[in-house]
Amino acid sequence: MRAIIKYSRKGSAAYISHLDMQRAFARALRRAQLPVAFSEGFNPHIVMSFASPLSVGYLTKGDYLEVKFKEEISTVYIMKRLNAVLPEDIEVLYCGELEEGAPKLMAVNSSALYELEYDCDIEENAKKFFAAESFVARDRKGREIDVRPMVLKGKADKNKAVVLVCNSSAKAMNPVILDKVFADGRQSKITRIETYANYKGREIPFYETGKVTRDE
Amino acid sequence: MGGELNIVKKQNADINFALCFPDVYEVGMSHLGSAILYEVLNNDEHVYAQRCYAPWVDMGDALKEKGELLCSLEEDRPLKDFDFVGFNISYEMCYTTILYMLELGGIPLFAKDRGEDAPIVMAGGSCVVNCEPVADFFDFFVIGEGEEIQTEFTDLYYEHKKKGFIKSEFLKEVCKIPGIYVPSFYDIEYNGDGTVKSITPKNGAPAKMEKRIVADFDGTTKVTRPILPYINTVHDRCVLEIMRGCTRGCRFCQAGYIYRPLRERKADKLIAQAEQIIECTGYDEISLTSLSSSDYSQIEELAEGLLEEFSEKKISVSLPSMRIDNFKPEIAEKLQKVRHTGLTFAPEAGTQRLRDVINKNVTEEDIFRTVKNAMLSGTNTIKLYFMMGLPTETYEDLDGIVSVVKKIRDIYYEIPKDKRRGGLNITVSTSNFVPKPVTAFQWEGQDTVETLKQKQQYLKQKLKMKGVKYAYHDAYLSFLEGVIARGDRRLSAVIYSAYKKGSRFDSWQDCFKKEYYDEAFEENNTDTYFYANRPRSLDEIMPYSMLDYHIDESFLKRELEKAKQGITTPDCRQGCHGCGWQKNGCTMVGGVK
Repeated sequence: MRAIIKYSRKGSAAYISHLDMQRAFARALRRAQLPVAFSEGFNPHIVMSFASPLSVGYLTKGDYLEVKFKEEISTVYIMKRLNAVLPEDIEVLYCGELEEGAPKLMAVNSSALYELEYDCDIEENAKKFFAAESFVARDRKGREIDVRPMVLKGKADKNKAVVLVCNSSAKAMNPVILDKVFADGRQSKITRIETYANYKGREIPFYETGKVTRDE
Repeated sequence: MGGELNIVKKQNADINFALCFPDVYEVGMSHLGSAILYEVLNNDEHVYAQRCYAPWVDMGDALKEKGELLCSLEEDRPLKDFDFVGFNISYEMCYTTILYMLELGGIPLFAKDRGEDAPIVMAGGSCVVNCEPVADFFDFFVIGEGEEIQTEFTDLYYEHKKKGFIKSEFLKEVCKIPGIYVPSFYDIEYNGDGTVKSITPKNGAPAKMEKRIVADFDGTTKVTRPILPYINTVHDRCVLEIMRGCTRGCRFCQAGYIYRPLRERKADKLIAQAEQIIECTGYDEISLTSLSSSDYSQIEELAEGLLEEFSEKKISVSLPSMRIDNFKPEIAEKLQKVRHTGLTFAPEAGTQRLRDVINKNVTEEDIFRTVKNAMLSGTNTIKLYFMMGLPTETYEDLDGIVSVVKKIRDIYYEIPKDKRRGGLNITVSTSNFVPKPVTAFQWEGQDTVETLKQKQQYLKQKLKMKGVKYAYHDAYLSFLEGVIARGDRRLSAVIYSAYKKGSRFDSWQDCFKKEYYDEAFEENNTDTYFYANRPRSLDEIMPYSMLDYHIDESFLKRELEKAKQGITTPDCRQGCHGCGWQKNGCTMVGGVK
């Protein structure tokens, strides 16, 4: 069976790369002694993949990975075992079973909700941005792009902004670009609050694509 | 970083001990000795051992700019606020990085400049064999194995702290603990020609200090709960130390002599240790470590036991340091059942003549038979380590390296295509010979930088073949090692000068600046030839002669004589050669163990 796992990270776990996070989960699954499925071939590894990579330095309350298991086990058990062995700063928030034949998480990954926290008032700049139809800014590589269409929804309150942005592999926006727009380049603390899938025609948070199962 | 799984958290410890490694996190976290000491020290209720590694240059600059101090990972405590700051010294080129960390930590670099409030700065590790070049920076050194001595001196410190700590009083007592060397208690006098005239102890310090070994190696503290790094470190796997010491007696190898006597761990205990480590880390690779793992008497039992226990969980077992002459293909096959890893061999010299001189007892037949068997079991990646600049070496010996490589290529292509696993990858790596203290070659002179470079270019040309890569160590860096390895206390001025100019992370290619050392030598009027390239006279007093590793000088001189005549010395498992440990508890005495 395939399980979908929602997790959070904070503290020192925020400063690790996506590859490090993959490794951290692979090891946690081993420590938890769960019946994970391995790939065939010369270099067997646990069959698992993440919905969307998260940049170094970002916290999260809503990131996902899927793991394949050799046999049926209750998702409540998976969550309990993982939380018992994970390092302090990483926590499993939800675990559900994916439907038979459900697409890979990465394939349906569609949008993401971020909170950006600044050390200054950004309300005015943010509201101007949300009201506009287009807004050109320079990305990390110095290219000029219109970032406004990538921001699907947004609101701001004093020093915080919450934005829903495109996050699919074809069109993903790294919210850090908004630092230039909202705060003249001052760095924000970025937390990914939730990740959404485009599943069966609807835009839903990933946890709605799974079903919690218990021991009978 | 910090916050990793399995770190230790303590409150209000009596003694705060900073376990420092003079390199970056990724390297330091791979050091087994530090992992052992972390557990040994933290098992003591009085002590809280915390880690500290060298911040990379950009971070170091940022700390300086902001006026912030280098702190430990566990508690974020500045180095200067520790009771002990202990360094591991395993490589000569880490010395400037030590000064870098001390300064960033807010600690005066020279021992004489540190007051009562400053931490006790000490060191242990393989470079203690000749720690004279950095003696002026440390309060004391630990000679040999640290597992037991750590609690001895921290207990003593605790006693002193309770009654009112006075550094000089503490040092006067700590030097009485066997295996502790307090350099400030020794006055060195030099002859007109620069060699050591006398080493005189004072303050009741002993004339000679003996290397410590643990009373019961198999029973001593093993790592059972290693810290699990988030980021990829150099050796990011479950490491099992299967034995210490080596019985081969290769004449260039300092480790083989200074880690004697040979002691093994029992296979069943190692498997149990592996279980503990795997359970609390989730590692998917186990590595067996020792100086010569295929000599381990229970290697088959251990390999089988580990495979039985772990292969179902898809945990691979890898073996570094295999000797060519007794490498059994069945074991390799078993270990490669789970995952395929390449094979590494160290013939060290290209001709039998030179191998006999250095006492690396492997024949060409051994090499080719082993390589062929490995290839038949599916290996197509071979790494070969050689040394250049060995005593009595000629260009004929370098040609020998080339012919060994060519023959290996031939063997591969003789195997039918369907049995081969892809293209052949041979990596040939040459390091440059550095005469080291407490080896038969400690009286030899090192090849000059020019000579080494010429030899490297010669090999580079000759090794231009399909499927073959040639890598060589920087000759100047090896020369610096050569200066420092048998250097005396006067070199601390050079290390200090080089550091002041900006030297740090000298073993890192992108950081190392030759000019700093050239200038440091110039400014301090250092005769580098005297230290690196000069052959020593057999009755010279070595700057490290007050440190006793129980390897008799007479034994080393006998080995040197045999080397010059190309006579080999067999493995001491087959008969004792009287290295000195036979008087101090070595169990090899009397033949095969």
